Amino acid sequence: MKRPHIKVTTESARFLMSAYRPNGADAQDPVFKKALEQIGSDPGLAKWFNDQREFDEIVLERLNSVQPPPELKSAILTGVRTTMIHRERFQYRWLALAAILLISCFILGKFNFPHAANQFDAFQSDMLALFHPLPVLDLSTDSFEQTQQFLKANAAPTAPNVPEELRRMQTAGCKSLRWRGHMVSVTCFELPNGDFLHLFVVNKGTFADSPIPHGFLKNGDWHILFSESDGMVLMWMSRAPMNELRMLV
Amino acid sequence: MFRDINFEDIVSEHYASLYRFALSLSRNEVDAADLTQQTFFIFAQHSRQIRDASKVKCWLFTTLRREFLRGVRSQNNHPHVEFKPEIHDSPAISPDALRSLDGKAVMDAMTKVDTTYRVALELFYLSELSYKEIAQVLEIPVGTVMSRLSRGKEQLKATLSESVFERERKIIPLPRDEKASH
Repeated sequence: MKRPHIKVTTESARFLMSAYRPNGADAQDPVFKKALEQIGSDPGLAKWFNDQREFDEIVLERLNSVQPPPELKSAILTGVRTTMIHRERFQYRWLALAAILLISCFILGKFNFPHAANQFDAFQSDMLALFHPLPVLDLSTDSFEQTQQFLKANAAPTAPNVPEELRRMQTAGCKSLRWRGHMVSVTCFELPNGDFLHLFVVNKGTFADSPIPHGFLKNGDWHILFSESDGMVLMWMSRAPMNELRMLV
Repeated sequence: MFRDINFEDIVSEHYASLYRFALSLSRNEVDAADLTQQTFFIFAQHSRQIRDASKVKCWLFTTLRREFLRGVRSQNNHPHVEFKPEIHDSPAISPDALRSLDGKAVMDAMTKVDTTYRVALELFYLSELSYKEIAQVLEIPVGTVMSRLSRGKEQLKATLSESVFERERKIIPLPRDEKASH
């Protein structure tokens, strides 16, 4: 009963040690550790192992005596240097192209697509242009409530949290329009002094993450104020004196 | 040339063993040189993808083998594989007899080993890769590598014994009188 067990262990050791490199690089590999211990206690296995190592060493030595053609190394290095030069040139070309694209995008963005920070400027400029000459309103009514119902029915943004004083104020009417793909609504209030106050409402997402300008802005004889409420950006625009507007909004 | 890898050092260190491996696969000196060059060419193109310098050797041998197989497939020229009966007890071959053979004879003997075992054997001797690295190059389990090495060595011993026998048979001993006259 013992012999078959010993024989299997020896066979296993021989099987494992066939993968043991003759230069001893695998000496620390735990896979070979037990097999090496077995070799130490089995003279027959030890002889086989010594013969095996000698065989491996001679084969290795003989195979290593086969030398590559003398010009091969220089041919490889020359070929590789050429490849590297091409690769670097190729990379530089890509870098140059990327730089050109970047500059082009910047220039195009500068002239055609206002930077996020300038989007409010563009918005107010475009809306001001709408009032030269005066726009044709979609709905003419003196009721603020009616303007909001009309805008809502036309899927245009309505004004949230409008001060009560303005709600009670008479309106000229309202209009909806598209600006760069976004719906914009405008409600026109008639101020007691005869001036108009125009309220533009647009979704805040229209301006991405750009910060809303603070305080009153002046554009020609127009006074402009931006505010934010319930995810909407409100732009108030009037020729009325600034302090009067301040009291209203 | 490279930030982390000195290409010239890598070529100097590995080109000879790669050439021998290529020679054993292609059995043709011109093809072996081409394969070696092609391997370094690919390495030059992809060297930046290899972050661990210790993996370079394994990468080179894997690439060379893949390139060889790609070439074989494209030529539809699969090497003929002759399966031999398994040899469990290898014939004894004395170290002196083995030493009497030159590198070419050993290389020729290697080519007669079954392809299945031969590639693992070539990687073991020619690249001195560990059994784990061979498993990686051949994409097979480590147990299979050990099995192929074990059987491959038995076949190599048998083939080398035949080579020694054939060589000795060709040497016709001179008659004693003629020997004396020299």
